[in-house]
Amino acid sequence: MGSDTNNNKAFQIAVWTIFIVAIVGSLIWMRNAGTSKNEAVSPATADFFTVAPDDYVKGGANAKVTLIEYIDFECEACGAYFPLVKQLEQEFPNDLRVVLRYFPLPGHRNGMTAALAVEASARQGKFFEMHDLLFTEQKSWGEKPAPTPAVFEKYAEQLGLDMAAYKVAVASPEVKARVERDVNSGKKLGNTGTPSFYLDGKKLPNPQGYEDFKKIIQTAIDKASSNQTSQ
Amino acid sequence: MVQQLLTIFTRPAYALIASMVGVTVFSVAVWLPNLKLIGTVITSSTATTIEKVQLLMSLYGGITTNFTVVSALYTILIAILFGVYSALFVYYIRTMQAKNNGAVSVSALGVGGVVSGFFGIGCAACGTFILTSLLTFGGASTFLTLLPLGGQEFGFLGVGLLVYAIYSLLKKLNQSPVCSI
Repeated sequence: MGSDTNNNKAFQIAVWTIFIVAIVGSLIWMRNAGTSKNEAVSPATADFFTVAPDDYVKGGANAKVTLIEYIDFECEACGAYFPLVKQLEQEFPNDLRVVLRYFPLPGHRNGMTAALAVEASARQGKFFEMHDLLFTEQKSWGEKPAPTPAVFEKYAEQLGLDMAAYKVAVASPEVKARVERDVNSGKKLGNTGTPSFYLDGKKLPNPQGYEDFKKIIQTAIDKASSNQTSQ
Repeated sequence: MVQQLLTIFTRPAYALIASMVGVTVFSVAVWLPNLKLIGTVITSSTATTIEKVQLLMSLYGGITTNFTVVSALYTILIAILFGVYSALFVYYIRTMQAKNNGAVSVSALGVGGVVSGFFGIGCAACGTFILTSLLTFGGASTFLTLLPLGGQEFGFLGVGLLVYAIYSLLKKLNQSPVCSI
């Protein structure tokens, strides 16, 4: 009888212990799963963070931090980040430098066509105009079953480009090579999708909305400022 | 994630949803073993409305008499977790709808998606718990005694599934938009 009571007590203690451990374990697991940190990139790929003379850059020449974004113009997530990045540029006009690079995804029928259209526009000094227009109009031309170059010609006309030069540029190997240069650097950096952000040479997990993004940039600026002061 | 959970539940609407669903699940749990009695009294013409309500209220006390400490604990926990899960699910749907108005499309937001989403893992958790009550109620207690924990396994399974469901939903909420290769 006494042994039965002892067994019963031992059983209850075991059940309670498992129960408490499971609850505490779950809470720790949930807490840890929500944290993400900037990932360091190997030194072999460090060159890709050097801003090239023909990179498309917005922001102060003496900016304290550099944000590189790999984009696919047909990607909805890039479209979602487009106003956020624009807002950041306005928020930190002197301290933030934004570098935009092409990374058309193979799954998007117009990804490469759009990138070529933007690069061809860039040859006439209209990179940012075409970039903005394609994201603003993304819903009307995105997710089509086949490439639609005529749509981009319409946008080029809208921007007042020299259409003959535009058409030659779109078909030229130089324009394609320029896009592919960015694609290759993105691949070597290990991009698994778009947008892919790199902040001062470190992979930045895609932020949760504008406030999160702003906080990350502000922290990086503060850190760079304190480093400059201490030197 | 815990921080996010706290942020959501400081909003009165979500706290209210969680409380209402939690109380409903708890009520079902304590009333289910006395379903026959409730049926008899509720349909009785001799009992007054006050007496009927009094009976329903008194059955809440059954948590201390009809349940073991462990089963009472997981019953309360399942009610709380199911309330949290329901409120979180409403928050998730609203967040996805807000994003959809922006630029990110959510293909799974059809009626079917919502229904299957909610009644997927969440109801599996609740189902295991109701199953225990029904098996006892339905005279299948012999089967339950064959189980190492006398049927309490279903309760633990329910708690585990709900914790996982809440975790999955929070993880989905934390996912940033991205187009994968």
